[in-house]
Amino acid sequence: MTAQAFETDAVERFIKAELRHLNAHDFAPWIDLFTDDGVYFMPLDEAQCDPSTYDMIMYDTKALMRIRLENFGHPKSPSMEYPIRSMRMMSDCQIISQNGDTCRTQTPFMASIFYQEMNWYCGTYYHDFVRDAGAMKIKRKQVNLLNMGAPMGAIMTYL
Amino acid sequence: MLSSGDIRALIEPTRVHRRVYTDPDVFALELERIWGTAWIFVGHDSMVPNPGDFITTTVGKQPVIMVRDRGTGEINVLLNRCGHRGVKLVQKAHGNVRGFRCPYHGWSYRTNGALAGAPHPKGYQGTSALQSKPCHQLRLIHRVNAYRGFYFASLSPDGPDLETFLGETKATIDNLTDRSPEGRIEVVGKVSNRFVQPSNWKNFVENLVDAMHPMVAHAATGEAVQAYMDRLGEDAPRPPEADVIHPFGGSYDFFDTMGQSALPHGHNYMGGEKSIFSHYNLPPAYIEAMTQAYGEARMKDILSFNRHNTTVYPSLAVRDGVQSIRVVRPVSVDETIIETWVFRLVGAPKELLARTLLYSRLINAPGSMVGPDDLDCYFRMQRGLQSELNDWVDFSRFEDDDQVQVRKTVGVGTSDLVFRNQYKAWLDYMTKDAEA
Repeated sequence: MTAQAFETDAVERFIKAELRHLNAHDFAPWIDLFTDDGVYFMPLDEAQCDPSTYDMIMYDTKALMRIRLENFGHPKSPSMEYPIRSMRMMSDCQIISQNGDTCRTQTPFMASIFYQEMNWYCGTYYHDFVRDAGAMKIKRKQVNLLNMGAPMGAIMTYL
Repeated sequence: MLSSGDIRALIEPTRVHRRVYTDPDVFALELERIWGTAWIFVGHDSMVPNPGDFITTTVGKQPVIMVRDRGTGEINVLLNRCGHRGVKLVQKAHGNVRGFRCPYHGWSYRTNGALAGAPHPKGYQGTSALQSKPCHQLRLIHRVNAYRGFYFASLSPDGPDLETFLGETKATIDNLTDRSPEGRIEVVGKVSNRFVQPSNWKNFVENLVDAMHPMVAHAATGEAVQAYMDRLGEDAPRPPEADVIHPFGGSYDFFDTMGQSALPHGHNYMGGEKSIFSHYNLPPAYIEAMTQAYGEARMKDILSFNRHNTTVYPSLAVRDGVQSIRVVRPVSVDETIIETWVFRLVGAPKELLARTLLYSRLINAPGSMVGPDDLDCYFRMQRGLQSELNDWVDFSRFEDDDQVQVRKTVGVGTSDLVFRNQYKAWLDYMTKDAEA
């Protein structure tokens, strides 16, 4: 049977829905969008994307996402005492490669995170999607910040 | 201008005045008398492996370039300032060059810091020989030296030599390097994680060996891991992330038994016989490679060395057990940049590096859960210390229990001994020139 091709409109709708979960801090269904071996990561440099070889700004496996979910808003965490409000916006999503049940997309984004003060992030999302029992899942979400590698403060939530 | 008496009034045996963290004049004097005289960590030789490779950084307030000489292959630490009009020569964090050329008027320099030439030279004929003037070259850092690939610079012509300065902290650098079966380590990546810390540099240097904070500041992270593991059930395998984070919620008794050691020049280390890394399992292939390289007895010595955070005061912290360093770069009285560099043990199986990277991401990275809680505590301390209604910061814990030994003073892990030792060194540095 021939694998169904990924269509840009469908992928874009998926990412918009993903961002709605993040904007609402609705993390449990957001985590469910990932495959069991899915990862979310932010490299320090475009040439340093392999987590077994290079350090990262952030690299969460699904286990760590679930641990982080327990940590969000934890009453004993000093850094979580402040409210976090956030808004992510994306521009046009492009499928940059696809092969059967997998595809890779690139999507420019901006994120405004209010955490004590306004913090702005922008860059490019790279999503690797797979079909899992007919449903689209994220196998890898790579967030390339424009200021990757620069000194930065704490990144308090997923972008 | 702060007098020696003003400085002395800030430090008491078990407490320090809030101005040591908040006063811009104290900070300016620290740059001159501590960061301007002590041996300051610049970089590791593996950051510049090839001729012409360079990194840029700071030694106190001086911009510097660490570059591998194209002629000799040696590593030079040069002032990153053109000898002509003072323009900073290099803005990039790293790269490779044939030489350095000022972007303003084109004066050019060799990788040994010598002036190579200036454009349209006839204008200087008969006035002076540019190349012979010391102020027209870049080799102006008074002292540069290395210990096992770790390069340090001192802006002072006087003071102890590097090995005397490092003292017992050399054993930590030895251990980090000897954990490689080939006795060599290499920095991972050209770009490191750098935290902007909204507080004074000393908050970080103190926190490195503050064993009273993990069970409070990091309690949430420990509980988050526990809640996750409880949901997994007893029989489920523990994820590697849990193994790394969980000890940060350790008990007071655990940290007490790690012990603290205070050393000359403000240096210190926590642990020794045990640390939060001592329960880490090591891959059999690594044990085998180490045994082949060193023999069984020496291998056991190396791998049972369990220091946690050795501080080379004021600029460097070494975690030999997880092959990483933290580097302190003060920016202003209330801003500091903390670099984290991770090392690969040459000749070791790649699982070792995977765990080192896991540790760094989980504990030290801007996107970690542990780091932001530290950062927020520093931020709150910097803000709280603005209050003029209480001038003092307390370091009295276990004040009567310091045990003086031959080259160090030791105490239980939660003792404030190491902070008292840091401020003893701080006072020595800060009053030395004034009393000379």
